[in-house]
Amino acid sequence: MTTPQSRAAPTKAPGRRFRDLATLLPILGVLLLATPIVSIFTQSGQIFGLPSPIFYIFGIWAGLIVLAFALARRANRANR
Amino acid sequence: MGSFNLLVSICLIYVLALFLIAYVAERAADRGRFNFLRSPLVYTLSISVYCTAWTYYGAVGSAARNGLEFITIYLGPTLVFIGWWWVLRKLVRIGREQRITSIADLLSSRYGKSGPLAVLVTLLAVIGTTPYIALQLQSLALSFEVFTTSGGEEAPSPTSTAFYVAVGLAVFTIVFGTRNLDANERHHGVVTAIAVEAIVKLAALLSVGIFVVWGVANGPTDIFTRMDPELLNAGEIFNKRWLTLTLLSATAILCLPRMFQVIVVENDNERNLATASWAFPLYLFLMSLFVLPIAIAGLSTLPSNANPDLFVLTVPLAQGQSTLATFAFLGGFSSATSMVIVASIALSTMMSNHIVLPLWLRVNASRNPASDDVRLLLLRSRRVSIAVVLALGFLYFQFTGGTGALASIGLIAFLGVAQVLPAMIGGLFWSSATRSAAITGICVGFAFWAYTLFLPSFGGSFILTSSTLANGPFGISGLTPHNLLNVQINDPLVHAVFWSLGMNTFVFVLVSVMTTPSAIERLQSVQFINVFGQISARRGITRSTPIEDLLVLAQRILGREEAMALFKTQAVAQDTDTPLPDPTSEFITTLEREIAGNVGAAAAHAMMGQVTGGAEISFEDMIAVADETAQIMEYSARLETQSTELAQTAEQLRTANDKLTELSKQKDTFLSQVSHELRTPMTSIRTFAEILRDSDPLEPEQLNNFASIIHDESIRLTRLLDDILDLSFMENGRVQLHMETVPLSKIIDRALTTTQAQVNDQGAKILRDADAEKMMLYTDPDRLSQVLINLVSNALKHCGADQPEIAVLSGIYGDQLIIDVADNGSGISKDDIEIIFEKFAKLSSKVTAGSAGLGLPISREIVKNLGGTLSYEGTQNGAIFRVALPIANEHQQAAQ
Amino acid sequence: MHERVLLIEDEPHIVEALSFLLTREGISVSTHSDGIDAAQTVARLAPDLVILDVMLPGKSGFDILAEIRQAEAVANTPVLMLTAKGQLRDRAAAQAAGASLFMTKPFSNKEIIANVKSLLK
Repeated sequence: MTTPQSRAAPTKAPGRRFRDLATLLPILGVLLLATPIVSIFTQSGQIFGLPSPIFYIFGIWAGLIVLAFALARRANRANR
Repeated sequence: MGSFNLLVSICLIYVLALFLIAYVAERAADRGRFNFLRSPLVYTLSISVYCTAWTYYGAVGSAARNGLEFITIYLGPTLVFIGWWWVLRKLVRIGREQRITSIADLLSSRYGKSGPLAVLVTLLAVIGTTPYIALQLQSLALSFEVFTTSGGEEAPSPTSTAFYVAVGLAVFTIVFGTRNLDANERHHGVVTAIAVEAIVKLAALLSVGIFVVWGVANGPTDIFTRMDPELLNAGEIFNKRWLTLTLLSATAILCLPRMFQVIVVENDNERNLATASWAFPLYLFLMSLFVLPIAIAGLSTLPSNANPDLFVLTVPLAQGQSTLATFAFLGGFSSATSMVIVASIALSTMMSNHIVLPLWLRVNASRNPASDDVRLLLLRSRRVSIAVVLALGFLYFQFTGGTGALASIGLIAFLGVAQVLPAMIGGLFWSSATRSAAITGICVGFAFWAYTLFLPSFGGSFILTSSTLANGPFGISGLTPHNLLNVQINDPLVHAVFWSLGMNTFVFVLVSVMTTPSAIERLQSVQFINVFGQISARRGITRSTPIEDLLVLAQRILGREEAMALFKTQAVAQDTDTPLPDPTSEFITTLEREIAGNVGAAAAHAMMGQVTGGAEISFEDMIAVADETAQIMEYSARLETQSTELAQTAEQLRTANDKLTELSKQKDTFLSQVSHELRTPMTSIRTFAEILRDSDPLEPEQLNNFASIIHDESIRLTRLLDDILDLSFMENGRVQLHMETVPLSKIIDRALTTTQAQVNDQGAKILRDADAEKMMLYTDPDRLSQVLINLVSNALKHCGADQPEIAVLSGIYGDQLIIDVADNGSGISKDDIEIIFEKFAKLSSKVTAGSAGLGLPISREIVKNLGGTLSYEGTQNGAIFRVALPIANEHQQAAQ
Repeated sequence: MHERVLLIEDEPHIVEALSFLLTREGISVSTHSDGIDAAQTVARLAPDLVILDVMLPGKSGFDILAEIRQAEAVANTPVLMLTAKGQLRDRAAAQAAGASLFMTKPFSNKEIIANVKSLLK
């Protein structure tokens, strides 16, 4: 028997759907931010008074953060 | 009192406040009030040590020159963090399970606790980090200079500024960074101070940004109308450089020693990682939100010769906002100091664990590591290492400061440290990755990095001359550092990333495929790659290491109380009778891991090796690995086939139960047989004793007869008890053999003398071969003659022939000495052959009536103890018992 | 008149002791030391009492007892069983097989003589 160490219990694995989403999110991020897809959306021009490249990059970035937030909440709820 | 003195005072007050915060946090931690210190917020903020003065000031500078490109430095880490489920989660879990103390320790531990690999990564980290520390010192010196010259004062010497800052940081780091020896324990004071600094730098940058957007301009739309449209380079934002920088920054967040320190080593709850997965990208998002507006404001309001790297300070100063500028200065100060503090802690841990300690171990190889105070040595070396790291940074600044070499050093250092990446990722996911591959991959990558990027960064003044840079060494254009094999990658950074990481990965994979991992590498790779699988407990194999030695070693390194506590819990877990646990290999693994939390895997392994007798991975360990691998495979299959699994478990339980029942039955049978064997002589003794007591005077002849029966049966009883004890000793292997060299004839003589009376009784004939008996034998003569006595007396008892003949013949066959005891009886029936060697076997045949007793089982045990075998070789023409003993050549020859 | 007892026992010293004791009580004793043809000996001699050891070479005392109880002529002969194992299980087995009495070795002389006498009445 391995003895229980004085460390926090390892986290339980949340559901399969969560794992799929958690695996997919960085792939989505890489596709949108680090492939030539970036070029499609970053032509000169303006959206809401901001240059479109800035709007696109910061918008995608913020979107990823929101998705990551939702996933993290699910992960921590699964461990509660 | 000029603004310089004011600035110095503010810095001092700020630093004192940090000391205070760190102190309070340490006190709170000591009292066990961890809740806040362990919150995901503090963890996330401490990761912001990623944002150094280079990013704080340099991002605006970069934005002013290259537009959106600066964002890539933040996008890489963002992608790594939102993808935490892939890599970070595994790193953190491994870090906790294996008590990893640094990135060098991680690689060393994964690749068989390799000392050389740890040294290599440590050197790489020092080479990659020293310029970075110099960069922080430079940015501090520069920002001091900007402030004081703007106040019309004479600029302070950058050297002295950098020197005092370096000394101050060394003191802070030594005080709060080396309080705990266990590098795997959290530095609560430091981490809390870093978190506060993270808030300060974010708040400072946001304040400047808000001031620029709404104070200088009229909102976001207005500020971007002031922008030169060329700056954004719209339509061509994504290019090779964009991709390369994103990759590089993603690598940096994983490989930089200070990032590894805050993300993995200082992590004490995996759930904090889930929070950081969105909170840290959010922090980066906020840090970069106003970078472009500040750059635009600087470009549009300041003279064209103004240094864009200092816009964060100079824009508020030019607008007369000296308070805001001071705040901005504190933000930069925070960025620089937090980076230096964490980096020097990480490097000092690596240097003391992977360089100082192994050297010390080597110098004192003859001494047991348990006999010296390793703790003190480690603490001292860690403190000295911090001073050395800062001194290196200062010297580097001193020699290169003012030249252009420092400007691009941030990315250059990134790439240097990034050479660890293939070995690290390979180690986490690929079980075939080997130590040699890791070492060669890193060395090759490092060489390419040095040749294509690092050395050229000195602009021809260091090792590589300018003509080499332009035309290649000896004019060979294919070897030009910035254009190897004329690949036509114009950007030197992209070129260097391609060659160094590309060749590194290629060599790493190639060598991995060509080499085979050693046993300990396999062991570790299973532990790493399957860190989320349920690795079952190892079987407890008791090693011969005295537990006291282990305790002494543990006390020297873990400290007295912690060591005792560890040993006590382990003893309780093992359910031993003593307060100390048994030195099972499982316990040794646990202890080694605990020690690794202090000194790193390689040193811990070496120290344990010295105490446990330098035993390499044993055969049992290999079996355990195989078992574990099998169990892991079973575990993954289990998800789908749980019912099968349950059935199997039930079956295993049933088998185990059957075995226990069988054992218990055997024990019962044995006890019942012992009881029978003891009661039989006791019955005779009691009955005759009562007859003697109760009867009227008996005739002298009868009296004599009865008394001698009592006497004989008493002797039988005693012999039986002796036999039982003898057998139990033999079976437990606790028998003491008194080996000596004697002629075989002497042993046979003794056996026949003892059985002489019986031989005479039966009128038996004894056959011997005098020539064969001349040989010398290295054995325990008492025990061997006991065996022969048993065999001869059995033969006499059970032979059954009218004219009994017993032959004791010997000879050498191959490397064995054979002694046969044969008789001319009817032999032993097939049914009985199976059981004659069992204790108290009851034979079925009429001739061998009665219990065979313990003679044969004892004889067999004796021969086994002598290293040989006792078997029955008989036929219908008589029983033959064969003793086969190995011939120990050297003894034999020595005797001749 | 002499009651006749058949003693089935393989330990020569115990045979000697019991023969001495019973003969002294005026009982005539025959002995048999082997399990295999013990039941036939009982049928042939038709003794008034059989003293039967459990652990015999070749055949167990229980099997011999069962054979005696099945042989019509001697089926009702009282049988005193002796065992050196002294386990409850043996006692139960002896009762089930139809032993009249069951004694554990070592025994007291007085007791066994008393038992033999009571079975002979």
